[in-house]
Amino acid sequence: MNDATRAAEQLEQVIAARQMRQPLPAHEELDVAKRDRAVQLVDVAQATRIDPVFAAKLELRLNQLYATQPDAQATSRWQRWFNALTQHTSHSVGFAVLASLLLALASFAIFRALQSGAGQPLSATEVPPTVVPFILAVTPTVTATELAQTATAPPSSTPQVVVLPPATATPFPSATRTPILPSASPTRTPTRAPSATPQASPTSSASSRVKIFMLDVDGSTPGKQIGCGDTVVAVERNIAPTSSPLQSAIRELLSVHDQYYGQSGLFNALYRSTLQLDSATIVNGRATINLSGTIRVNGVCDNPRVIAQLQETALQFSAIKQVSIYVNGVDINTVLSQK
Amino acid sequence: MFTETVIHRVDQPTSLNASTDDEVLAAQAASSRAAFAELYRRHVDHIYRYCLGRTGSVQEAQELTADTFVSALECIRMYQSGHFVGWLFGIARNKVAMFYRQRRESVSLGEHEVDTQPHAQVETVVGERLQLESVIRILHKLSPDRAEALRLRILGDVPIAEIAHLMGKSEAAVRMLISRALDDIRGRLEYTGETSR
Repeated sequence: MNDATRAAEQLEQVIAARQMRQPLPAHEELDVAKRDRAVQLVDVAQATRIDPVFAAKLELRLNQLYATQPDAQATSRWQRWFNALTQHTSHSVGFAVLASLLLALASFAIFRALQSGAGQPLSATEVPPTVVPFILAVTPTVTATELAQTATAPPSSTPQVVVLPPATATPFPSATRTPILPSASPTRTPTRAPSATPQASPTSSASSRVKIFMLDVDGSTPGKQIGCGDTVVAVERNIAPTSSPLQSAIRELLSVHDQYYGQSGLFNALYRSTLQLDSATIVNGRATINLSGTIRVNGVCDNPRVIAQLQETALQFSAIKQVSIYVNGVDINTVLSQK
Repeated sequence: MFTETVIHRVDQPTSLNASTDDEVLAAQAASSRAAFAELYRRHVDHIYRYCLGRTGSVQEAQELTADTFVSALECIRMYQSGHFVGWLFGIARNKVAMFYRQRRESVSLGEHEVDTQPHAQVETVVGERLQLESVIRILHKLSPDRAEALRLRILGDVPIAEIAHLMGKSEAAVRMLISRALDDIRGRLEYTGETSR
């Protein structure tokens, strides 16, 4: 440890002691004038207080806002139900009751499915609604190439995979999840006829537009909020026709190295990172994105921003329900927690 | 006192006290108004001082403080970073950054009044006004990283570890930034003859 580093540590001890109104440590090596300046600054800072009337009014306003927050006492309706259930019992009993209810529902659903099929195998068009969770609903923007990666296991052991026609689905998720800048006019791509297996329809119906996600660090734009009060905002990009829109979207996102997106003022937390897409696969609704390179963030607020930009870019495709991101083979949450 | 009246408005009595950890309170704040109120009272002065150090204006610092806590309230249920102070100051920094971006012009400290303690004795206020004004003015002349580290540490009372998280630097680097910032301040005060000693 050199002198400058040691002096900086001693200075910090002086500052901390003064802030806690404790006797100052005696550091003979520390420049006396510098120490006194630090003490003086701490004293001036601690004498500075917000107007108590303003502070009280603000607290009152926050109290009122708190009461109007949706689900202030529980994060979700399910949690409220669970809390009610466990109010007079232990949590383990609550879990057991909930698990029993879910098991009964699942048993009933399977029973109805078998009954309606009268022992016949289910066809692609005869799938009862109760088995919808086992169906991978795919919009045309997720193409045969990515679907081929989706159904890599043998058909006999995997849930039935059916490509559904996009009856009401748009190529992108609904505009209610995130506002779209600059325009919200997704182009409809041609629909495909239902097919028993994704490999059976190799034709590409690629879109020439994808969304990438930036951040409104002011949080003033309505939309999904993350981290330090930021809002995730979608912007549309034109891309060359592609058979793998997920990969193209991620690559498009990673290609932006401006801190602020154009003149929009939207922030890009990935601007310092040098990441490349190695692979992107979709299995049972879970997209696994493998990146390589270096991830650089500017502070604790950037961690959720980086994750949100990547996740939301993947989640724009309705076939994707969950996203796992790895950087150089390590989970991105682990990578960022070590930053 | 008005403040005491407000405190009594919060919901159920709790065992919250000064020793309760910020992280515990933050975890409770999603469902406990009392926990959020305690966090507010603990950090409102720190956030205000930091905003004052950034803007040099009491009114703007108050507005930014209010914006910061309103956003914190809206996002508290998503909080999971394990660094509450860093998270809160991250919001404050966002608000200040947006404030400057919207204004599209640098703030001239000469145009703003710096009021440090409106309800203190007049003599005390005069003495502190002079010191704080000169400190804030000089902070604007330092390199951005040094000024920011010093603001967070001295005005915001943010621990070194949290500043390191906020700024994406090592703790040693932050300590060094603060040390050098104090060197710079001392040099400038001596140069302009504004030392108060």
